[in-house]
Amino acid sequence: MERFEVLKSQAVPWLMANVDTDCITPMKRLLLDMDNIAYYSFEPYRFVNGDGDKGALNMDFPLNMERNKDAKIMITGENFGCGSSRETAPEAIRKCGIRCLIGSSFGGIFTKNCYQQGILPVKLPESIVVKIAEEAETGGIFEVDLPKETVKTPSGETYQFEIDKARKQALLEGMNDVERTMQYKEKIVQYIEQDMQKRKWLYAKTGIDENKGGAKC
Amino acid sequence: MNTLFEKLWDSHVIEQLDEESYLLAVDRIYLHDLCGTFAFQMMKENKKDIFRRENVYATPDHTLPSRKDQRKDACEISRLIMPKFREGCKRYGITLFDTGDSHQGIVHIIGPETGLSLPGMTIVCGDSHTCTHGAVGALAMGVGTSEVYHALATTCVIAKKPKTLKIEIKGRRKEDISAMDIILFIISQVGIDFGVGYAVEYTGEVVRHMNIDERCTLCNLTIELGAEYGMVSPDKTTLEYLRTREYAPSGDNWDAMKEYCGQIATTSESIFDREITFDISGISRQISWGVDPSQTVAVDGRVPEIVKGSSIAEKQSYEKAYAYMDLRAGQAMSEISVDYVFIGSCSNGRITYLKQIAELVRGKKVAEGVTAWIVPGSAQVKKTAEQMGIAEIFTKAGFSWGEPSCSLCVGSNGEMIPPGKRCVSTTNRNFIGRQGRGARTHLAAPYTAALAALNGRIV
Repeated sequence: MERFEVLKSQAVPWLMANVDTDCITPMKRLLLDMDNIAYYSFEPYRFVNGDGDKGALNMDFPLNMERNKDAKIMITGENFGCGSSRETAPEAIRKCGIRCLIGSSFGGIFTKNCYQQGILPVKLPESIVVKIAEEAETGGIFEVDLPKETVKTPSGETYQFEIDKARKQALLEGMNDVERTMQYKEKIVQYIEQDMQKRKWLYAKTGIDENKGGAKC
Repeated sequence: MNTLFEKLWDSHVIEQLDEESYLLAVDRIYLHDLCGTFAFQMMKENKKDIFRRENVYATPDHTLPSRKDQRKDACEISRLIMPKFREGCKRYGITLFDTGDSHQGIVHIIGPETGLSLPGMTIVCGDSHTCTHGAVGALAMGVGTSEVYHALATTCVIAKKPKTLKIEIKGRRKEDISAMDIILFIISQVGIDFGVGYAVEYTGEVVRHMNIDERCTLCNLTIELGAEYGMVSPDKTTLEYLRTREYAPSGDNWDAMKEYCGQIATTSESIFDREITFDISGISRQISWGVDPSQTVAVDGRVPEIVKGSSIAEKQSYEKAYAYMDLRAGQAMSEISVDYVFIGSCSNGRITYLKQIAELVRGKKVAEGVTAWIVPGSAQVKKTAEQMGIAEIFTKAGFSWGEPSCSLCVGSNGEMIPPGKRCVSTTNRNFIGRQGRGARTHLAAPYTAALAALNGRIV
């Protein structure tokens, strides 16, 4: 995972509410076109008539605009990333070059998936999001400072945001969750041993395990 | 006093990572063909093995076509995914309920049905509808691919502790009102982000009287409220349901689990962070008109108008919905004619509902011009329906009867609604393009879907 510290970039404003992950990475694309997932991301909005097969780009869609080509920040509408748990949604967003989302709210599972993909989801009050989205239209440079937990707009306004300590640390170090968890391996083993005494039925072999029920691979 | 959710959360904590994040022990991991295949890929790339293979079970559902003649991996996606899925299960020594196995089915149907999902368990699966398993009093969460990989490699999950939300459902339920109507009604009242940051527990007389199939439907659609967890405290109904399940404990172990259920259940002294009550007396059957599950009205209602004082976002989402669904404000729902009907999915592909609609369908015919599919949620549901003669009632009426699969819910198995066509569907998402590009989805209960099939329009 790429480390995240201070990000300086233009921001793409797109305040569409309730953008679901089915729209961000349509099922067909994540199965058959994963190599081009950035190109097909947001397909219902990115293409004329939502048709990626015909390939005509909808130039009103902010991510298609020439001036947003190098943007690493996206300003999003409320409840962005709701719906399906597919991690390809933040993966596609990352592959579009975006490392930070700024919005008033995000889907719960989507938020967790963003961290797995090294994307920082910044939550700010809706009134501020609307205001900075307007400012983003001018194409100025925003600065997202993770150590300080601040967003600085091109006009110099600075807003504080909050982030869980563990998530912040992981982003700063570009650290892998599995490695971090395995630091607690002893505790995990200990938990299982104790739980085996407390909740025996969870560990009991049922007749099924031996005889039927699924191919024993 | 703590609630069910808090008791389960606290008893599974391995380590608190910061103010809000915890490392929790995972009792059960389910893999379906999509999340499983992607997680196996990560395991391989990172050269990891499974920490506790005995708590992992796998079954294909997402990429399997439900059409019998296409079952053998004839669809492009299935051809791509299934060999990798099978190979991964084999490589990591995971029990796989493959096609043809009597346990195969949609992962959220077979969990409770086999007794693999038990009260008090923490359950993880790479699918947002994992909350379904909360119906038996489990703490079940949907996660992304990286987290499935993490759970496989460490038998743990990193999660942020949500607040607790009690949804009490009371009142007199009209006979034709299904759990699906109730949860769609609730979502339409509070919106799709009401539950963000909360773990929901359903309580109240209506929930107490529901069987487990119906509780599964409630919990299933909890994610459409924005909440990642939905659950019902285990009670007599839960135990009766599990008593005969193949993987449920027996003998002394059963008694121990029964006692434990009493300890974990929420009581009248449990305190929630937030509570809300719905009286469902007098509500009619529900159907969605728009492109998210909150855009739902009564079947005898009309496509709503944009009310004065709506926010820009609300206006925008209504306009998006009118355009995509090709409907106009004020139009009666009962005027809307239907091309397709799909009855099935992890929301409603259960035997309770098939029994219910069999009575309605018996001796009638699917309306001309309507393509109507019933896809049982599991091999068990299919077998039961066939043995009871229900399947025959459906096929005689002109419904097509499929093999257990996610089928038309998700657009990942080659089965899709053609562009511009309208489908009444017992699934959980009416998002743009969910059932195929340009497909127009109306979410409804199986009873309403069956009525639409027989009448060729929303009834």
